[in-house]
Amino acid sequence: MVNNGRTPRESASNARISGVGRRSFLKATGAGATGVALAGCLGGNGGDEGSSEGLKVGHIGPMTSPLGVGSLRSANMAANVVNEGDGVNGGEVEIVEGDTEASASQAQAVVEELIQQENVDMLVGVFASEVALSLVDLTADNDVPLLVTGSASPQVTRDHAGENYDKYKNIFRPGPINSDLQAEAMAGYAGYLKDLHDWDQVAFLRDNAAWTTSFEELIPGLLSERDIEIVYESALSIDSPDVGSVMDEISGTDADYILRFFAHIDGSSMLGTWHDGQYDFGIEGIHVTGMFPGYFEASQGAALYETTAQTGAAGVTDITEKTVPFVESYREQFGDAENPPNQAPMYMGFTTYDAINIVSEVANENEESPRGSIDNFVDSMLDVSHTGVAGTIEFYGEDSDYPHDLKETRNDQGDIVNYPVTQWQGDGSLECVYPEQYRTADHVMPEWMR
Amino acid sequence: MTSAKDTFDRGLDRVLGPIERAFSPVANLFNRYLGPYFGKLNGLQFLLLAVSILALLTAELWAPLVSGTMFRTLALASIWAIFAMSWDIQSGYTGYISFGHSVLSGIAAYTTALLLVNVNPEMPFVVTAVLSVLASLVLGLLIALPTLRLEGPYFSLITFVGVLLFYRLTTAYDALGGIPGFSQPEVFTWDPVMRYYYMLVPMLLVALVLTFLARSNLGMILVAIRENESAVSAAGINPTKFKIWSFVLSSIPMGIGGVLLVGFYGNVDPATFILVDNSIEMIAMAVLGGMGSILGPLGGAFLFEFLNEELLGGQSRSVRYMILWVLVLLVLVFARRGLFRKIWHRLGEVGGDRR
Repeated sequence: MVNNGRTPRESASNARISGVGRRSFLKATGAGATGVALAGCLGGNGGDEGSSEGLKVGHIGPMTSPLGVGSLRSANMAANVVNEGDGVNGGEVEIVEGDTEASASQAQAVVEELIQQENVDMLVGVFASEVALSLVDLTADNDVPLLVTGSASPQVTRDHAGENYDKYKNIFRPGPINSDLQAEAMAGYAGYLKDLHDWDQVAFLRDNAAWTTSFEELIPGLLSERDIEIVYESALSIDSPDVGSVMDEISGTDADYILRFFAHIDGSSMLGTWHDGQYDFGIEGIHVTGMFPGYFEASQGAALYETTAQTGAAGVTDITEKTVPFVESYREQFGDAENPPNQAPMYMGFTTYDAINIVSEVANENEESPRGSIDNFVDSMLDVSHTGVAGTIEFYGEDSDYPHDLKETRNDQGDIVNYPVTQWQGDGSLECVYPEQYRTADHVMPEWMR
Repeated sequence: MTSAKDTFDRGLDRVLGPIERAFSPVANLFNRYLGPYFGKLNGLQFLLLAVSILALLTAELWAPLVSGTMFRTLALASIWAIFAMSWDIQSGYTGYISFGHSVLSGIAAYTTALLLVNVNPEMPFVVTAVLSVLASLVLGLLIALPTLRLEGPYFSLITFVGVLLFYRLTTAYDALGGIPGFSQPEVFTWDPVMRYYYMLVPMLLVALVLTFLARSNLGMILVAIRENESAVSAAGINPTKFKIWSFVLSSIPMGIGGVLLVGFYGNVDPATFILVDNSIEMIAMAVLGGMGSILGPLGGAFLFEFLNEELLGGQSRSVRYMILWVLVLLVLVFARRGLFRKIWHRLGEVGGDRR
């Protein structure tokens, strides 16, 4: 691998795929003739180039996390919508599940199986950037389109298609915007907080992981342009974050709020400490655990006043005319499901839903599988301008810094708007507080600070 | 009075006897020329060995029939077989059980990564591989020199603490990559078939060399240390010297395995390489196959990986490992010599006492 990213991993483990599982293959081979008949479509290097009819989608994500569950459900919703329409090239969209268990080695095993055994036409999903980075070479070597819908590290595009376009042109990111752009969006949000509350001193915290490198590099400059001062800065170990001592140290500063970027770290204990101790600062930024739709209840109200940016704004506002109906349909189907998330998928679900719709359109337009001709696929993808549930989706081209990354959308002032911020308010309602065009309520500071 | 077991044994002899006789001429040929170096075989043992090696070498023909991921499983099993055999020549033979062998493969992997990151990203594989194996050897000696003078449980405890220490070390400093580790190393190839052969060939060579050494006087002394260390001393042989040799023999292939594992994943991180679970898994494989036999742990590694990756593939990670640990427990209780050793000796008993 030639990426500079980093890859967390558990010890070597195994692929788990629903549908046609390995065990059934073992049984089949045990039955003798069946096994031999199947042999033609197994193994080898790369196998066939996908199917000519329909669209077989390998969905990869951490299925032990509500993030992965929401994304897989959204993938199936998209498949149902397409199948109820005209389908894809006379066939149907079929979703095959691969559980990464949030580990890069597991993800590699799963993706090898999806490509070589399941013969998928495309892959969609991936949460951790480290996992995405560990899959770029594998998918590029097999010319299988990989639509990243959960990871934000710019390394996924900039350090691959940005450096060797021909090799890595199979990789697209329909969302979220990459963390370079997220940093700019968050700086815009910090500007809003400054205008609203006069907050101009920030304690800057982040996961010590690949996706936050952009924040480390860009946030100080972007905040200083807006006359916002960083009074405390720390990258916390995602293995054992020392939240208690960090909170104590921050309370010794004049910070108006913590601007934190947590995807790996669960910030719940920080919220609990903050709420109970009524610390004299707000908690803002990005917190993936906090995007869980039932988070307010799960945190027993400790999440009140915390904010997080999230693609799709959890469906609480009309980003496009499709956003709210999508979330309503999700709630209808999964409101009573055993596993959360029940109220809405988390951000990955929004982008996964859009990704499958886009590729279905492209496959129909080209009248072939995305793996039929990767060049045709790429050309058509670059022409896409899709109104999805998470916003308008267009991709950067070959000559950009981030080839095939989702383009940011901007308002008249030039602020990035397709990375909205939500806040838990009042008795547990989730409101979109930024940007202005999607705002359902103004940001409120904790009641003990007023 | 004849028990059911005796009846079964006689039946088995009757079935296997003719096969043994059919292959005994060729086994005798092996025994005449190679027996002194690798041990003597009867016809059945020769057949099992020949078929196994042939099956491994011709996996291209049959592995895809088993499952689409079989090459991956076989490649992983080959690497882990190196670890299990390396552990065995040291711990299985001398009885000084190491609970921290993964630091030896880990140091090789980290040496590769640190050379690529800090010295030269274009450093040729030959150079990083040789230096990495050397690093394993040096660390092996560093652990062995002070600890193997100790008797009793202290050696095991020290190796155990060693792996915990090394794990924390890699996550304590950013320069060592933390939890995500380093992704600079490249995989050998993504072609599953080629990748398998890249792992298989070194594994077979390691098996050959270790079997040869285990059958030599050195191997006999190591076993003697396990059985009665004072007797070895009384015979005028310095056991510490030979225990250190066993660590040398173990460290080098551990380093080779570490280098191969880097080539498999293209990433070096504490969870894949250092975590104490890895050290325990090596022991589990050796136990399954049969400690103190080199080829037993090799078979154990393949069995373990096949169960883990293929047969239990549909289960969650927790369930898979739970089943595997129960199996290890059962083998420890009911077949202490290990499954493959048991089979091997049973085959050896067919057709008289030739072994």
